[in-house]
Amino acid sequence: MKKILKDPYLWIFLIFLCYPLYPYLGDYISLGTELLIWFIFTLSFNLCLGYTGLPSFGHGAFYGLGAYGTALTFLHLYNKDGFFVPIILGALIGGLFAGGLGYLIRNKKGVYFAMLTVAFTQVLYFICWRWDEVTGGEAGIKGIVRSSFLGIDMGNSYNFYYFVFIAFVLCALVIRRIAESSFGKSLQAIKQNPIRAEALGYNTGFYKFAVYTISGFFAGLAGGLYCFLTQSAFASVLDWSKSGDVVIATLLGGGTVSFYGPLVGSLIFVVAQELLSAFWEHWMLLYGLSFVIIILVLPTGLMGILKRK
Amino acid sequence: MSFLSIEGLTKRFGNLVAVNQISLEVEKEGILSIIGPNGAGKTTFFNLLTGFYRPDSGRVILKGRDITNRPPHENIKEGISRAFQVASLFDEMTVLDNIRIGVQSYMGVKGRLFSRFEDNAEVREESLKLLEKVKLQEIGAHTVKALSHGDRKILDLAMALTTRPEILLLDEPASGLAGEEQARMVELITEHLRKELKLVIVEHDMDMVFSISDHIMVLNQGKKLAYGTPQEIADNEEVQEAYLGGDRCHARA
Repeated sequence: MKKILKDPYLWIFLIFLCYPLYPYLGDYISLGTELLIWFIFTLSFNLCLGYTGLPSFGHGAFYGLGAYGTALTFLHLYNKDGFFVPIILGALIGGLFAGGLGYLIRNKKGVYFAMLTVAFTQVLYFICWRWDEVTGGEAGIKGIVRSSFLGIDMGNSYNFYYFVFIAFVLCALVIRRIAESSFGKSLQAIKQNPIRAEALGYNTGFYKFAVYTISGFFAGLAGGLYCFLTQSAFASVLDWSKSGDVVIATLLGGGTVSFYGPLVGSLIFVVAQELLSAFWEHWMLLYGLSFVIIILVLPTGLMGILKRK
Repeated sequence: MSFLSIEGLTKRFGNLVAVNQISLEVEKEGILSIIGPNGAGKTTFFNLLTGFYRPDSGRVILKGRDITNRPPHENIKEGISRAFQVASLFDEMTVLDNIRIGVQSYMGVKGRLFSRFEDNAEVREESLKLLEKVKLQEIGAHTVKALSHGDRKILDLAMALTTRPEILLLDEPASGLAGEEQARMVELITEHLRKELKLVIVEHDMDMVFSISDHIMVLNQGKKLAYGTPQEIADNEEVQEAYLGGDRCHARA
């Protein structure tokens, strides 16, 4: 029992379980929903960056693939009562493409790896932006309807919030389990010393491919949820800046030293985006500047403060 | 059929022939040392044996199986393992975790997605045993970053043992060690490891080489200059001329 009480997850889950009750913030229910989606996205991303040291600077690709995959599945294949099938298919598409790309670039190092992931995202962006017949081009895909799930009306934003909340709890538990597993420890070994890992019997290329696939699956799932939140899919989800935002949020929070870093970073990013942008359209200037200062002072991000001894 | 046979192994880097037509039959027991001046190709030779480099020509046959072009992570399954000249560790982890990474690989559980690393009692037990064997049990919980040079070298060697090799390649195990630390390393090698597995050692400390080796191979400019027992090597005029005389005097001075 004590162990459970000490678990940060318990408190995070409780805080977000009560979200709609909070004064002021509670009115921004879609902000809360988006935040939970970001949590899933950045936690999955950090398996690559924080745990394996893979500089995947185009992770928005899998988020976008999840969003488009979900939207297209919903419109053309399955829209009976729900979310489940389109979102899972969206996630699978994210995982599939991540697996394919991960396989091709598994042995690329550093900046080459990063550039290839960015290029991949850009290609996808232009496909979605131009392929009018399938993706709706610039106009995007609209007409995604949140009908009901297990008899609960999902058109209601609060009900949908709890749907996403449950998805977040499940994903968060699974992702942490992976991070703490033997596999997760192997990833850290590969990050810290790939040559030694190879000498100890680790097929480092395979592990990178595997974690990339897993990460792509959860990123796709986050994208699918986002598609239902906005009831649409636009090429902007594939914009390179989206991939950059994820990197910045993860580093800012301290994903390289703490499993919970991405959550802290997402919280700051999403809230700043929502609140600051309402006051000043050049809010990114402030955000970017604070990022630079924080990383200069605290290279390991905000969670680095706690890890210092 | 010998335990390990090396046939015409060659590796070029541009115009430089780092390892040139080396052939050698290695028996299962005892310590084989490889000596030679800097740049003689000793480390390259190790990298070829363990799969970190691919040879331009030649073959490596271990227990009758051709392991020439296999990547390192597959080679360890054949029972060949290596330690590193500069201790190659997982710096952010504890001493125990460094060992556990190796042991979980050997036990085939390294890829388990949903079973917690910390909860694997078998891996833990096995790792603690190994730590005891190399006398690092007291610092198991220390982070590797904080270790002394001597402890780092011992841990590096211990990690190479996690995969239970039949043949172990040690690249300058005593480099940077002196006095008590060196004695610890020599004791580990001669008292424990020698009885359990085949050792191939690259080393510069000639006193150590001549006192612990059963056989010595001398390399010079990528070529095998001589091979024999320590006595044979010490008596070999060619070796004395090319390399040993000067260096040996230097070492004793």
